[in-house]
Amino acid sequence: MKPKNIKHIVFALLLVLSFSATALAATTGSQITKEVAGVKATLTFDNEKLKTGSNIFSITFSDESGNPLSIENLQVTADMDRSKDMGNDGMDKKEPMMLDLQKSSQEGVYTGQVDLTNNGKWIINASYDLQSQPQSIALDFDVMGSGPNWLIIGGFGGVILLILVIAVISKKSKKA
Amino acid sequence: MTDFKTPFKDDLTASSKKKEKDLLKNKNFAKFIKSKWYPGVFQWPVAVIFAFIVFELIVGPSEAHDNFGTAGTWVLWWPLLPILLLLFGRFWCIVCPFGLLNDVVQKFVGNNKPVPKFLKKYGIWIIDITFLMITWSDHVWGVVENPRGSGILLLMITTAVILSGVLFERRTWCRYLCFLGGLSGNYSRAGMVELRGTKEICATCTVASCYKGTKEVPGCPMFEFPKTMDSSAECNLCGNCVKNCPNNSITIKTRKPTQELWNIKKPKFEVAFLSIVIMGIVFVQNITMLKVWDKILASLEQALGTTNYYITFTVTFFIAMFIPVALLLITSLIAKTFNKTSLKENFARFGYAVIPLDLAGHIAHNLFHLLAEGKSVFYTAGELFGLDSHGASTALVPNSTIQALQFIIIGIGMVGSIYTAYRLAKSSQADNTNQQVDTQVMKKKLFGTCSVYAVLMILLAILNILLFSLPMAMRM
Repeated sequence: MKPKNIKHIVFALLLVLSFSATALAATTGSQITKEVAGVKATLTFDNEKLKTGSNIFSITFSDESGNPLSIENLQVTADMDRSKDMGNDGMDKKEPMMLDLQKSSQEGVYTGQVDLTNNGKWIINASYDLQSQPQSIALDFDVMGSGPNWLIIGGFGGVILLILVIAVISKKSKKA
Repeated sequence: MTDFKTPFKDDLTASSKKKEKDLLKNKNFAKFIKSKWYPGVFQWPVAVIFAFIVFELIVGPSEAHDNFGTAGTWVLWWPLLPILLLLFGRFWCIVCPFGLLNDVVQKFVGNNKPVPKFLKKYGIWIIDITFLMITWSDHVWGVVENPRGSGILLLMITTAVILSGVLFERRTWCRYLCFLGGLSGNYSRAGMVELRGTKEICATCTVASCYKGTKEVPGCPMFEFPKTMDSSAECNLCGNCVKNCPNNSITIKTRKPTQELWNIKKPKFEVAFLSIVIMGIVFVQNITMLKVWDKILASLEQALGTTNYYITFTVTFFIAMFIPVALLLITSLIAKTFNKTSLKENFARFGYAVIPLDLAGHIAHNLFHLLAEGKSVFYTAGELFGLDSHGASTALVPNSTIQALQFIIIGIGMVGSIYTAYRLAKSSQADNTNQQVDTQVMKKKLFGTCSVYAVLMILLAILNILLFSLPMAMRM
């Protein structure tokens, strides 16, 4: 194998590895926004694709023009969408989860953590007082199962196979 | 690569040399090392366990606390690794499944190209940077606490090892590219086992089969030549040289921990840099696992005006890396006034003195995971057979016991580092002493140099103890 080819293979592998790592880990985060009675609530998760398990999120409250809103008595619950049959997973018997949120240093931003136990549609319900008036906003989102990512596993398998095939060809051509 | 070629006096006393016992003098041990079963008897069972761990990580339970792969990797193997390195040097590297994979791939489809010059020249810097990048990505993307992330990391390494095995000769990966190899090399310098050639016998040798290999057994996979080897940093105790040497020149001896560090003949800047950066990594590992981390993060968010974790953590990461490097630089600058040696040379030489404290910090940090979460290895293994243990305590010993052990280990590491700094200062002065310089002046210089580095080691130890005294979060 020529040094030039080695360089190309190393470069290609570096690209594949860095992109596959990026595909795995670096996500841009997902956002769900809803507006009720002049209050815009934005739910932001760290992960782009929500998976079962513990997820960190933040809720931002702002007015129609995007200025942060100061709200009081915020209470947030998380629950699966009960309007659909959830089979035998037992979620229909559970009470909505009360979430503990912390006020961020930024006005109108609250952060917390939610344990999304099952895949399917989930609803985060935020109740609060705005100018002493009780209000609430429900934000729904889909949660994927967290099984193996066969695409990525297959990608690595493919790269490894390719390396081995090229190596075998290179070795045989050397012998010939 | 910077080599400082100042000659140093070997200040090991004859009595201490006598105490070093050659393990190969034991017939059974020598027979075992020379047998065809070594090191395969260790490699293959570990490879099978490793394959199962990778399988669990990529297709097993997605939650860390349910996954045997996560427990096996981060609660058992990772905490045991620095202890193994201290006791047996880089023996782990011959057992490591990646090394075996490299050997197998090479045997069947290897092209055996020579190691590129840039790898020889910059390999350790590549290791340093990779190690920092992996630590950074672990914190930002949660590799350790996410079984899939850990699985992908192992798949990435597997792919890179296969590529290296296919292209290059011997264990190029282990010697020049493995980020753990850099860490293992540094810790092995403080390790308690050393393999060397007997100078008098090697001097008359003309075959050099230890390096070149024979028809039956290949040469040193780590590109080492026992005849001139003066460090255990790159020896994985594979036994090839023992099998190949026709003159029985090779010895495997036990030695005092840190002993190799007392006489560093050619200190390398990049090795010293890695050793001080490891201290920063231990700080980062500790800080982010502390319950006070959320408060620190909130303050940082306020100061930076962003809640973006990529930015806030990166800033924390650089600060944590910068503090120990800056402290060593300042100390080396002060030491310069006593020993009249350049800042760069002081940094390179006395960076080695940080290794015992590094090792202690690494062991102490991971001792928490091993002892506070150790039972999770059994629980997750039980879950493979349907045994549910949810809610049960994972602790092997109470937290107070772990904390006491951590303090003791840091204390020992600090003493080891201070003593190493003293021996390094003493050995570097030996040359001047030969020139019959006023001994009082020399003593003053030695005392001054030692004192400044002792202050640094005490400061680093106090920082570690402060961090270990705060409550820490679990991995599982």
